[in-house]
Amino acid sequence: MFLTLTDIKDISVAMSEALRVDFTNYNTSFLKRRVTRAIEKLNLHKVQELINLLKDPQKAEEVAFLMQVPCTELFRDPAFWRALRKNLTGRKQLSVWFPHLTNGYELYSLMILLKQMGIPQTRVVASTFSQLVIDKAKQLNITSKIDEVNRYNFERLEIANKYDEYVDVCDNVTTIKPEIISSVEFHKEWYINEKVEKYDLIIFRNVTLNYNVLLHERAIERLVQSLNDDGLLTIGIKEVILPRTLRLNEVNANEGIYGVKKQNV
Amino acid sequence: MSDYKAIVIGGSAGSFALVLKLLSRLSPSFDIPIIICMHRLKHIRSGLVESLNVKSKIKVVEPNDKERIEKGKAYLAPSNYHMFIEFDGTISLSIEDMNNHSRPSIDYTLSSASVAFRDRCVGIILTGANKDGAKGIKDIADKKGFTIVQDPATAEVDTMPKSALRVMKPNLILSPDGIIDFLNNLK
Repeated sequence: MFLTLTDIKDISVAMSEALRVDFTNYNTSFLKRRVTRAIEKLNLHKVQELINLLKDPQKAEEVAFLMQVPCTELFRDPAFWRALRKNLTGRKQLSVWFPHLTNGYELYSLMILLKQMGIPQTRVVASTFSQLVIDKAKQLNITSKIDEVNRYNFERLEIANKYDEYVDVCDNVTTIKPEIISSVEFHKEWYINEKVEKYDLIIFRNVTLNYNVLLHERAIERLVQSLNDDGLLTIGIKEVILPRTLRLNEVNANEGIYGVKKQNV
Repeated sequence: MSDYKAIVIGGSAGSFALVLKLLSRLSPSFDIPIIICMHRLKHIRSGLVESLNVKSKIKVVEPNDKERIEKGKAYLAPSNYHMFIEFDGTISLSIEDMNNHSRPSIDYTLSSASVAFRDRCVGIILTGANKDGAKGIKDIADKKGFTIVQDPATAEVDTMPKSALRVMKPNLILSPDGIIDFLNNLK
């Protein structure tokens, strides 16, 4: 299906109103791909049909879910998780925020890492504008192919022997043990609209890839407001910090880990 | 000076040696940006760009998201990310689902280049073991861009060039040396 720029504009305005997320500042080519995919998955034929669907809250939920770009495995980019482990070593406790949960893999990865490191969490919050994302995160089934990738990533993180401790296999279906995330607080809200609270660690990887520069800057500025003075912000390894004037320190720029710059007194 | 805004190259199995040869034999003054999408191991993110830079006559980079495309540079799609060309002359990256079992997908890079550069784009399909890239080079041809497919008889694995030839008629079918000569004559 071919979408014009006018189609994209109309749909992004309709989605912004229905889902309370600023889709008008998502990257246009991303919207084009994702909306085309959503139209196909929902067996629609016209752009207007998708816009009409958004008036039904239950259908709007499905659209919200289809706009997500999920992380596809546990410990994607093992080098990042190794670097994070190094930077968290010595912490007595940790509060964590996942502002944009897409399916739970990163959430489980972090909870497993913290358990391995013996770091208690004071609070872990995962926000998303999709209820379906929350539901699926609580029951994360994995295919045999992803199971294989997960094992490989555990191996690269040197915790290979622990993988089976974290999964249940029943009737040939592998599920990551839901109790790993039993203490997590889920918020169904777009993170930009959430009230400002402070955290020690914010995991926000590969989200700004889907934004234009304006929303990218707005997102990072909003997250920095929620960082404690010794807090860490993590972004994807191919993302950059915008605006560049922000008070952020490169803790490990190769792995996308940043800290709050200390102010001179 | 050439009217082309970019050369976009896709390749898979066997293409690394070919891309290395091509970059090493470019004229040092070659200034049309080269955008390369090669299938690569998703868990090994370093080494490839460094190897290309050893012999390349122009600088090869793995771009970050939203990086502006500059003259005189080659851009290599990073491991495990799709790479797209935007209207404003920047590169965007994505971790969206695999396409043709590939991330990066050659179709995605070439198709986005066809939209961004239209008839001011040269698309090239090299050796490879799957059909990824066929739709992308057809999109470039449909927008009146200039298209080249490596002669399947010279390809280490001919599936990719043959798949492209099944869906479109390129402006040229060339051997690796022919592709290099073509590029050097563009300046």
